Amino acid sequence: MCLGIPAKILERNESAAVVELGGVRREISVMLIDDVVVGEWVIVHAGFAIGKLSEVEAEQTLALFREIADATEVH
Amino acid sequence: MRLKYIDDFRDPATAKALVERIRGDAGNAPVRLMEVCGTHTVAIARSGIRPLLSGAVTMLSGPGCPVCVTPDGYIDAAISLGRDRRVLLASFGDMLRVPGRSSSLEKEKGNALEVRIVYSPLDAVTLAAATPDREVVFLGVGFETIGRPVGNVTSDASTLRSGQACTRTDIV
Repeated sequence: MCLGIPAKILERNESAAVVELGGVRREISVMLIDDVVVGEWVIVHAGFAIGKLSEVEAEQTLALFREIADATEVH
Repeated sequence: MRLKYIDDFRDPATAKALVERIRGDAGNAPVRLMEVCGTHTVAIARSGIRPLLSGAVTMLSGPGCPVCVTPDGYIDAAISLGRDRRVLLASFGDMLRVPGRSSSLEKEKGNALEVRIVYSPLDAVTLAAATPDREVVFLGVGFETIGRPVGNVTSDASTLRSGQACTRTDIV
């Protein structure tokens, strides 16, 4: 519930947008943030974009998630 | 879920040795640790760790997350609502195992009530639109970041058939 995940906007349609989350395309709401355009990165929380972030910040965060996932993987 | 090695964790000789080592490491200045999760607070209180480390380690209860600080009564109320056959509960997955006074949503699931796990409050509105014969109740437990999404969804839901969807919101 508490996770905010960086995702790139792939499509934009009024208050909705399509992003890719962990390889899955998903429709989210972008009504809580202003002027987001295709190609920008947002933090997605419970199906809503709650803020923008730079590509560098997004990549750093996703790299951390991958590190945690690799470290906790059950072999 | 049963905890493995429970006797090993409670072995007095091992605990005594660990307590002495922790006291040694702490030295003269007490170490202050915050319990971030309410589940930690409960486990620490039940096992008597707090008085055991008194003087060496001061345990401070942190904020807890919205799930672990959900009151028993909230779960009881959700179960009571869900037992009404006209109601379909929608919830984030982590609420299902939270205990009420006598049961949890997980224990009641498939028995007396139906609860659908959703990723987003938006999914609860989609669910309500797809099941017009049921009243969908979304359990909106979350941090303050969930406040605006739930508010938005409540507004969306009001455009559906009147009384078809509602949310019970508790923001921590």
